[in-house]
Amino acid sequence: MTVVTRDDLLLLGFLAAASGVRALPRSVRVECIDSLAAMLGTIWYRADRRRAQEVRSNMQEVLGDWSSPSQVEPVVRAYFKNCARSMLVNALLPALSLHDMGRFLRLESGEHLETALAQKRGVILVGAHFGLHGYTVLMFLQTLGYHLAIVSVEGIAPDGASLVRRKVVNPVRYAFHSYMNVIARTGAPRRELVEWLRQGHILMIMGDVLDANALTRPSPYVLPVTLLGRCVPLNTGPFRLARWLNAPVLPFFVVPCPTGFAVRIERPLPLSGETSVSGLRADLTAFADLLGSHVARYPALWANWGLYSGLRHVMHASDSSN
Amino acid sequence: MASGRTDATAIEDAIGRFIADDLLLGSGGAKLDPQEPLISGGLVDSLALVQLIVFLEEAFQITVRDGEVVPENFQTIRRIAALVAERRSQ
Repeated sequence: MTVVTRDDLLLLGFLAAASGVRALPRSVRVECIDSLAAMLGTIWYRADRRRAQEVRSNMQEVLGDWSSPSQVEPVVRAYFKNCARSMLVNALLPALSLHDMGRFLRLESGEHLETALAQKRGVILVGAHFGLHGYTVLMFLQTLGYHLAIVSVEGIAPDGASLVRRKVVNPVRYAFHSYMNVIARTGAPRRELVEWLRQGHILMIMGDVLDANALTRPSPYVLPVTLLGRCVPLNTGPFRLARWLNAPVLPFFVVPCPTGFAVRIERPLPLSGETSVSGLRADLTAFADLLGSHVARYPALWANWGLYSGLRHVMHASDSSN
Repeated sequence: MASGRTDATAIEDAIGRFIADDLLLGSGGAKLDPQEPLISGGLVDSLALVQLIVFLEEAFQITVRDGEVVPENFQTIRRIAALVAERRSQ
């Protein structure tokens, strides 16, 4: 078994930085997040040339018209800063009060969520690895008083993970998740998904998981849809769950705003009533269109440029209707 | 004996129809073979398995315990039908 990898050292660096910020007086913690993220992001961008090249190639290939280095390079740098900010904020979450979070995060169009919750059928929030995503949004909404759970891989070390990742990084990284409702995505059936929604609560699922598992499952569990003009396989799980339990699906994206970031809740997606693969694909396409428009507007905020090695090979330049 | 076989066939048919129509949304092609591997063959994923368990509980008035949700019991339609028959007889 590998003892330690380059990525482990990177994650340990972020955990150490977050510990340093946590040691600061509460009044200055939030102020230093942005400058520290910029510094860590720049170091990361310069030190991890292989990943920077991967991100650059993915952006150039998928976004096509960014052929000149002068256009793409600032976005690649901004990508690393955004990832650094996300990791730093995630590691800082246990030390942040609602007041602290409110200084850089706000809820936008929360009325859509309230209206959906009033139907008492549960609500599926479908998001993406975009902006300050995942646990930050979970913790923010939870602190605002919403009952929600997230579906996540939650600290499950991948096959071949190093000793340091298993014994040090993951236990530290996920320790504070005991404050959160996490339904682990283990590949085993999880009834909690159904029970949680039937109790009228909110279930948060990332709709743009592009791991190897997502590529191998057959129709209708994974369907190809058009994203950014490319054909990409996406998991249909959130939409199958919504159809089954008659729960509304509300997309959400964390977008920049003058005070930092806004958790923007979109209107419920008008789900197709058709019990067919084409109906399911129509639901998925509605989400992919929204995601595509956000990524096109804020390309540096999409974490998937670097999360999957070879993203450009997953997003084929072919027709998704086949 | 004949009645037992008829019951088992009826259970297999109901499970097969649910998988074909509600889980695979008709994309599975011809009628499913009761011996066809469901999990390793990719015919059900983890969410589909939850749907299938809830269907079994509601359609056959049984309770599937968490400990029974193991691949061996859900590998084929025939195995699932056997589990249903066993739970109904208790």
